[in-house]
Amino acid sequence: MLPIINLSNIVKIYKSGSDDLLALNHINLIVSKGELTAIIGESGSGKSTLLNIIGLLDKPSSGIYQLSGIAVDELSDDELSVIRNQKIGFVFQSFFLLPRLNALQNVIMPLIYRGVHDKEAKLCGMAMLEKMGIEQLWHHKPSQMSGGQQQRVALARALIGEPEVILADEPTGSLDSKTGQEVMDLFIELNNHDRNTIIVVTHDQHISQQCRRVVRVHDGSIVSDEVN
Amino acid sequence: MQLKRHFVEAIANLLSNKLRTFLAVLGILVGTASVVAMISGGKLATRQALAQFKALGTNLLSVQINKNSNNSSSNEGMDLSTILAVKQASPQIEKIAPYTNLYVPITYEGHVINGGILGVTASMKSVMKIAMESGRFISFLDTHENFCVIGQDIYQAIKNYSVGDPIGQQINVADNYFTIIGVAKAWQANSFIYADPNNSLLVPIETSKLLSKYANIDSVIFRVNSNADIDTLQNQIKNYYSSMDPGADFYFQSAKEIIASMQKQQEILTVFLGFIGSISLLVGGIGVMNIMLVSVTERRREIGIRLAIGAKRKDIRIMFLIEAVVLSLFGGIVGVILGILISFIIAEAKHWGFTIFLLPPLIGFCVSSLAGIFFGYYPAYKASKLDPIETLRME
Repeated sequence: MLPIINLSNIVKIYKSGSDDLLALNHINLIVSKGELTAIIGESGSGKSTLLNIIGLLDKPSSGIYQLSGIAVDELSDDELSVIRNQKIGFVFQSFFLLPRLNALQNVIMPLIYRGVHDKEAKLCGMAMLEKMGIEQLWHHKPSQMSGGQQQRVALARALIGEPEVILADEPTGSLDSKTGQEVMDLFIELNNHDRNTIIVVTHDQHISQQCRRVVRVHDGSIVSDEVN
Repeated sequence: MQLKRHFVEAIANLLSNKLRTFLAVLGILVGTASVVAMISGGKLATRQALAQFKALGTNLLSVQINKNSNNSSSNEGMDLSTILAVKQASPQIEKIAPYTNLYVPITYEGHVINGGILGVTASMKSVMKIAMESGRFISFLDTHENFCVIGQDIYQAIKNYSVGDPIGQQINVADNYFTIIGVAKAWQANSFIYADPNNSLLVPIETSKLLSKYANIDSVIFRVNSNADIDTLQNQIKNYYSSMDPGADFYFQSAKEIIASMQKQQEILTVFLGFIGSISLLVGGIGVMNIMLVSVTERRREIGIRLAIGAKRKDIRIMFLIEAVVLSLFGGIVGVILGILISFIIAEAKHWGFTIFLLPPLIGFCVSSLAGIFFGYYPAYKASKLDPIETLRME
C-alpha cells in the first residue's frame, strides 16, 4: 500500500512564557491509501495538534512530514495552500460553512480557489450534492439546513477537489447520535466504495469502533495503534 | 480566483449588511460630494464672473480722475473737449466715453424717484453696450438739452404712477424738467464699470454739468484696439491728462487685469476648497479602514475556512482590498452624483448657467478609489496574516 501520510519524529512545542508545552512527542505514523483511521484521545492529548499538522494548518517544531511523497517542511504558505486545496479535504465539528453562501456556493469554493470556471464548478458541485443526497437543498443557506444536512454539505465541499485524504475533526460532535451515525455511515461508504483515505479525530468510542484502524494518543505520544 | 468573482462577492457581502455599508461610505460620500460641489461651484462662479466681460468685451480700459486735495485751486477739472482730445495721444484708442455721476432729487408727477444722474455722450451707448427698449439714446446734437434716457429700474418705478408710453413725458430733476427720449433695456451689471445705467437718468454730459457745480467729469471709459499694449496705453493717457490737469490723480483699471486677478483668486480658492475636501476624504477613508478592521475581526472564522480549503494569503488580501475599494467606489460614485446635484442647486439658486465639468467628478472618483486602496490595505494585510488554527479554534 502507498503511504499517503508519513510522519517521522514529529515534535511540536508550544512556547508559552517560560514554560514550553510539549504537545507532540516524537510521533511516527504512516497512513496508507484507502485506510479509514480513527485518532482518539482525551482533550489536551495532542490529537487536534496532530490533525492540524497532518492538515498543513500547523508546522511541526521538528521532524519530517511527507504527504504523498512530498516533503512539506520547506514549503511556503502559498505552496501549502495549493497542497491543502488539492490533496486535503477538511470536515469540521461545527461544519464551518460560510453563512452568506448557499449550499452549492459553499461546495464549489475549493474549485473556485483552484481557478475552475464557475459553470464547470457548479456542475461538479451539483453532482457532489447529489452524491450526498441533498441536491434539492442546493440553494439553501446553512442557516436553513439541519446539522446533518450541513455536515453533508461540508463533506461534499471536502470531496469535491478529489483530495488524497479526508481529515475529519469530531465530525459527529455537533450532531445527535442518529444523525451522527448517518454521517459516519457516509464515511464508511466512501471508504469502502471509493477507496477514500479518511482520518477521523474523535473521542467517541462508538465512532472509533467502526474504523478499521484506531490510533490512541495520550500526552503527545501514540500509545496504541490497532487494526480491528 | 478571478477578479470579477472577487467583485461579485464583495458586492454581495456589502449588500448583506446595508446599514453598516451605508454608514461606512458616508464619510467618503460626503468627502467626494464636497470636493465635487466646491470645485464645480467655484468654476461656475468664475465662469459667471467672466461672462459679464463676454457681453461687454475685454478691450476696455477705465480711468478714474481724482482731484488732488493739496491743489484745491483747480476745482473745475478738465472740460469735455480736453478729455476727448486724448484720442490724439494714441491711435490705439477706438472710442472714448466720459461720464459724470451725480445725485440730485428726482421726482415724477410729484413722486420721489430713487436714482442717479449719469451725464454721458453719444459714444456711451456703444462702449457700454446699452440697448434701447424704446425711443433713442442721447445724441451729439443734444448738447445742453434737457433730454434724458431712463434706465430700466427707473422705468419700472415711474410705471407705478402712470400708464402709457413714457417717451415724451416730463421728469423733474433738481427743479428742471427733462423730457424722456428713450428707455434703456436692463443692463447687465459689471464689476468693471461703477456707474449703474439701470438706476439712472442718462442726460447729455454738458447738461449734467449745469445741474450741479460738483458735476465733474471724473470717469472715462475707453474702448481700445484689442491688440493694444495696456501698460503703454495707460502711460500715454496718463501723461496727456497730467499735462492738462496737473492737480489730479489717475487710477486705471483694465478688464484684462480684472480677469487675470479673478482667475488667480479662483485658482487659490479652488486649491483651498480642494484641500478642505481632501481632509473630509481623509476622514472618510479612516471610516472605511475602521469598518474593514471590524469586518476582518468578525470574519476571522471565514478567513480560516477559506485558508483551510486552499485560499492563498494573497486571495484573502485581495478579497478584503476589493471590498474596501468597492465600498469607496460606491461612496465615490454616489458622492460625485450628489456633488453635481449640489453644484446644480447652487447654480439654480444664483441664476448661473449650469454645466457639468468633467474634471471635478473625475478627481473625486479617482481620489475616492485611491482612498479605498490606501485605507483598505492595512485591514486586508492584517486579514491575510491571520493564523488559520487560531481562527478555526472552537470557542
